[in-house]
Amino acid sequence: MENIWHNILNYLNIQFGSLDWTLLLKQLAYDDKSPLIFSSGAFMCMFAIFIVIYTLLKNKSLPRTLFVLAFSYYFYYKSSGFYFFLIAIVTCSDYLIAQAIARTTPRLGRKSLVALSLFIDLGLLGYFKYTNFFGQLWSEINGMPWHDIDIFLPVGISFFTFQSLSYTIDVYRRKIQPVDSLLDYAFYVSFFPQLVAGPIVRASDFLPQIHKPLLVTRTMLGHGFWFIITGLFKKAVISDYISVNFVERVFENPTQFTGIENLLGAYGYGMQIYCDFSGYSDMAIGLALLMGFHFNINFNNPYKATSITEFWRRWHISLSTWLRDYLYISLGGNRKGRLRQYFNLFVTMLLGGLWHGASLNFILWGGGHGIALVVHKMWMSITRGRSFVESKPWRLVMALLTFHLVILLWLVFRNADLTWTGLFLQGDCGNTGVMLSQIFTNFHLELLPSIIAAYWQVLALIALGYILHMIPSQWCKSTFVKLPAFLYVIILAFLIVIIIQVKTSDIQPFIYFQF
Amino acid sequence: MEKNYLNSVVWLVLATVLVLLGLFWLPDIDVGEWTMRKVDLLADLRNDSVAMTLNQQQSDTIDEATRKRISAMQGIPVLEGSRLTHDAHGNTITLEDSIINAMMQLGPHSDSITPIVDMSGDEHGGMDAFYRALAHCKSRQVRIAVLGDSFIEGDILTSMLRELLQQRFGGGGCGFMPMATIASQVQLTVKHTFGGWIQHRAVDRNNYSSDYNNITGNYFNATTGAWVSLKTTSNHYQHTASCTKSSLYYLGGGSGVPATVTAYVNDERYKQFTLASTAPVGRVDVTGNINQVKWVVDNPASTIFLGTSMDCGHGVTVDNLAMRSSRGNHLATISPEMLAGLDKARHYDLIIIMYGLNIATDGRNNFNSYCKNTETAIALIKQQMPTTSIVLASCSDRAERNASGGFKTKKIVKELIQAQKRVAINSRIAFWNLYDAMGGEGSIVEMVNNHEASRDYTHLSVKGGDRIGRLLYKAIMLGYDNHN
Repeated sequence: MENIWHNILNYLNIQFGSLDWTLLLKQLAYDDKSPLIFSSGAFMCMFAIFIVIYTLLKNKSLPRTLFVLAFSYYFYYKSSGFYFFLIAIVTCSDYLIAQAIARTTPRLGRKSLVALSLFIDLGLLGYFKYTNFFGQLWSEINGMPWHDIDIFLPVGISFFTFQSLSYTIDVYRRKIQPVDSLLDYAFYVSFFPQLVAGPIVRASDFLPQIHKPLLVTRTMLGHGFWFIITGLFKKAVISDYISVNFVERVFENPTQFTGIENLLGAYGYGMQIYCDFSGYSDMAIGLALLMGFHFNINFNNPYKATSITEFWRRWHISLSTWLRDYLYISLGGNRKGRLRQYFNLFVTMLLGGLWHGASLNFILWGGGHGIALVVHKMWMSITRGRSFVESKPWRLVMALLTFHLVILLWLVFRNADLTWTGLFLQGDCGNTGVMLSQIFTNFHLELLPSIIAAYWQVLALIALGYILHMIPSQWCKSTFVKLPAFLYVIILAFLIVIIIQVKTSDIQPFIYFQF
Repeated sequence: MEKNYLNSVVWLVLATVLVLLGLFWLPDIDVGEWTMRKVDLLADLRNDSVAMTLNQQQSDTIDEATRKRISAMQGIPVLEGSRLTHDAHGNTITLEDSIINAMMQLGPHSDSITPIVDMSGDEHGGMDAFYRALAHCKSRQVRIAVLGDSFIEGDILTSMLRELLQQRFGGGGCGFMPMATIASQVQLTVKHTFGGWIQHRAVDRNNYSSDYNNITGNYFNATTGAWVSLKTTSNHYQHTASCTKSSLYYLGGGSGVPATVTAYVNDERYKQFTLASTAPVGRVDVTGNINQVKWVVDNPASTIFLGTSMDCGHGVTVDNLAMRSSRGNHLATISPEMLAGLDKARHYDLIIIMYGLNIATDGRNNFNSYCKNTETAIALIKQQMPTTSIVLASCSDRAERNASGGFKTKKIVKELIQAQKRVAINSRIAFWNLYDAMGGEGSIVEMVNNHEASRDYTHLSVKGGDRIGRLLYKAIMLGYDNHN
């Protein structure tokens, strides 16, 4: 038997050149430098094996659930090592708490139970993500020295804690019944497509799907491949290429670039973050569809928005609706007067900013969006019923204005070099300030032709990204679904070949100043 | 009930994987200069030993004389007709590595420092001349030139090297600056402003005359009123901020009316100079306690200008001669007269040649022309600058995204470094393994995570430049202390 195995390996070895099978074990183990991401070859191979077993188990509900659960935990182990126990903690505690809430009738009892769930989930989130941040903040306020504690940030902790909270809060609000089976709940919290980077799937949307017969319709098949292909294109072609070859360089060293390059870098970053984030969400949605699960759409052409309010209905929808339902409404929403509503809106966005990461730039970004939303609410109450706000030219102007406001706030979001004392005592706006000053005082429009000549691939991709963003995708999607299925394979393989070609490029020439 | 397509999912996913596995056997496709990358889903399982690849390439080898000399001297077993040999642990390594390892054992020792390995034997071009000069730096100026590409542009790396050397051996000033640079805004060591120059760079071949080709890779025409100003800044590097001498360099040999320039020191008019055209490379000096120096061209005539400098009369000066996208090709075609003239006008005790990023580019099969050019350039320098030490620094670590999305050192970088070792061995000069000093395989990834390198996984940040500058300083000091 061993001999046969050896021969097979030997044959493969000859066929595939210098394969070193001992490296396989290394590949399968946790490596903090190479997490398993959807756009990787390793994930592709693993998913192929996964889907074969998944399909073999299609009529065996329990083994299938166990199998997916095990795979999901392994997937998480590949990203964060043994920290998968955190998912288990969140799962078990919220499962038990939700059951207890359903059995409790006194208001106070229910309240304290949901508070316990909040305490556990937000406590974990707070400890792993915000300890050093608040430590530093405290030391800046009272001058006591703070030494950062070396805390590992488990991947996706913001996503799965929020996801699990949606469940306990909904049970508390009597919107859904608690699940009977711990296994089902564990399956929901750890489901690998959305585990590490969203979308934040609601328990009320997902749990009912677990026990439906496993069905992938022809439309689901088409849509699944469509989302995977467009997601891959956005993430691995547009976002990765423009970031490494242009955007990151400008943001690392804005003074080395002219104002016009800084502006193009800012537009590029707007496209990069959209493609990166929505591309990953798309792939998650696509993978789930191929496994017979529906997720809600997470991004809906956000840069088409004609107001900041609309932007947030189109950007990271699963987060903005989560914040609306569980934070904004809990704060009182719009039920306690207009001033209180503005305050609630602002606080929600501020905390939403903090959710993205534990640093000042994210808070400022959230706060900036909060102020913009409040201003827009005021503006709406002034212009209500006026006809000009519906006119085409006006909407175009507002779309451009909204877009540039969003881009401006992305600069704040991306440049993490701000400090509290620097900003508030010395007025040092960090790289954001440098970039704006380059844009407004050192523009050099005359260099545009040579910039285009040197960076045409990057700029063409950024432009393509925005064009694809603007045209209606519904038609493309429905046409794609009608294609014969073997074409999906060819398109996907072709795309992967392209990704491999663009994965890095040679050093792009910098733009020369002309003297 | 609707038809279930779950089985189709399986077949489609498997078919995609099979197609991609199959594409591995696709022959290499070249379209013009562009080479298609191999589609290799199993790249992570592949063991890419550079030694094995190199042995398959028969073309570039160490010349026979050197091979015999070294083999006899070190007793290194050389497998007949092969480029490979074994190390003490029985691992297969290249001949170049075995020679460098043997030399390292003879030379200065330290576990934590990647030393400069001197392979000159008794010939000039090795580190001796430099170390001797350094010992006398109280009474004379010791100059180092670092020739490189965008990796050191903006005084990255060299600024810290200069500061540390000046701390220990005295001296001041930022050294040589071309009249105009692209990267003037990132200079941390000096405020460099200018106007009115027409720049010619060796990397723009159509716009660069071989008559004026010189070691800096730049020359300038001036318009009337063209000016350049250097102003010290002590924010980052204190020693560099002191300066007692500034010079202006130009090319002589022209006929007709000589050019005139006026020097201003600390905002006061110093003197007007008439630029004589007798020597191939001319120089005029101003001295004093200089915080700012400004040179203004009153009459450019037909003079070709090179640059200006801030120095001290003693101690160490480090010139950063960086040129974006350069491979150092221009060095091989400098005329002997020009080199000798440069040596007279601005003598270098040590030249560090630090190119690589633009040579280790994808799709390159061999480094023959690079090796030939560099060996020619080194021979020229050795001939015309007989008291100058030469170090060839290896290519730096550079990473690319691999099929699984992570970043990994480019294989071609490792291949280039083997070729560079060979050049140093054949040319009998010193070699510094910058790649090893950085930390070897994958070190640039680590540096990006520590904000020491930029996210193109190629270039250094100021912080990273300071770290590598410190390592180079330590390597030089290890050799120097050992020499004494």
